Parts: sequence; structure tokens; C-alpha cells
Amino acid sequence: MQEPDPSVHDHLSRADLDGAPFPEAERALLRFVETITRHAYRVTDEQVESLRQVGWADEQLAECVYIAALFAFFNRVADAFGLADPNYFASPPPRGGEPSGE
Amino acid sequence: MMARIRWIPEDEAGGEIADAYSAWKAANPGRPKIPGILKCFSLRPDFFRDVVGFSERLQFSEGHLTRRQKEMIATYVSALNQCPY
Repeated sequence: MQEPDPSVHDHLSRADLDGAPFPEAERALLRFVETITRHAYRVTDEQVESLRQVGWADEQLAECVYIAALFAFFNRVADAFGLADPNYFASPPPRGGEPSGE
Repeated sequence: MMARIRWIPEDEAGGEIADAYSAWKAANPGRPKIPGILKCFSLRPDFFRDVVGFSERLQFSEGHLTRRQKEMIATYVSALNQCPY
């Protein structure tokens, strides 16, 4: 795993995938996340196969789908209830570094 | 912070939701308040517990993706969902 760059979170918070410095495989995974989030019906066999080609296992792809869908769920609940604070979720901002097992 | 659909504030919680709030606080000692997104489930204390359990298991348990990767995905989804296109 590369040394996490604190700017990754900033880029992702602005939905700026192109500017974020991370490995190509993670960029491809986030493009998958983007497809799921914007229009999941457009996910194709080819996209999934290309993710396998850059090293993702189906177990990882499945988890990625679950997380993307979970946050779509939270985002929709927050919007419908009218939560103004964008930090409404319990997840603390990444501070860089792989989390120590907790 | 309030929401346009009613939720139960911590200081008005009784019964089942009070128990659920207490359990969440006991499990999250560093966090003094119940996050708004979770209070959205307070009218169904059983859902509140399910949502907390499900989301924590998905995000924080040892899985196939690292926690950092899961946080990246979550951050990106939230950014996309707030982004008009």
C-alpha cells in the first residue's frame, strides 16, 4: 500500500478523481464507484472484467458495491430529512495512514 | 441541528430509543453526540440498531478492502451525490 497522501481526501471530497494522486487500480475502482453512484444500470461485464485485470478480486469488488450502495442510502436519507451538515456521518475524516486495527 | 422530518432529540429520548442511544454512546466513547444521520432512524429504534450494526460491520470490520479504501469510496460517493450534474 502506498503512503497515503492527505490530499486524496480533499480531491475525493470535491469529486475530483483526475487530480487525486493514487494508483491506477484505485482510480479504476473509484470509476466503478462513480458508475454505480450515478447510474448503476450502466455497469457492464467489461468494466468488471477490466477491474479484475488490474488486480481486484471479486470479494473486493463486492464489498465496494456494498459500501457505495450504503452511502447512497445515507446520502438519500440525509437529503430527504434535510440535514444541513455535510459531516452528518459518523465516519471521522481520514487522517492519513492505514488505520491501526481498532 | 434539526431535520424536516421529526426525530427524537437525545434529551427527549425515552424507552427503546433511549436504550439504543445509550448503547451507541457506550460503543463510541469519543463521540459526545449521536450523529444526525443516525437520529434519522430514531422513530424506529429497531431500524436504528440495525443500521448502526450493518454500517459498522461493513465499514469497520476486517473485510477484503482496507478501511482506507472503504473511506475513499464513501467520501467519493458522498461528493458525487452532492454534486449536481
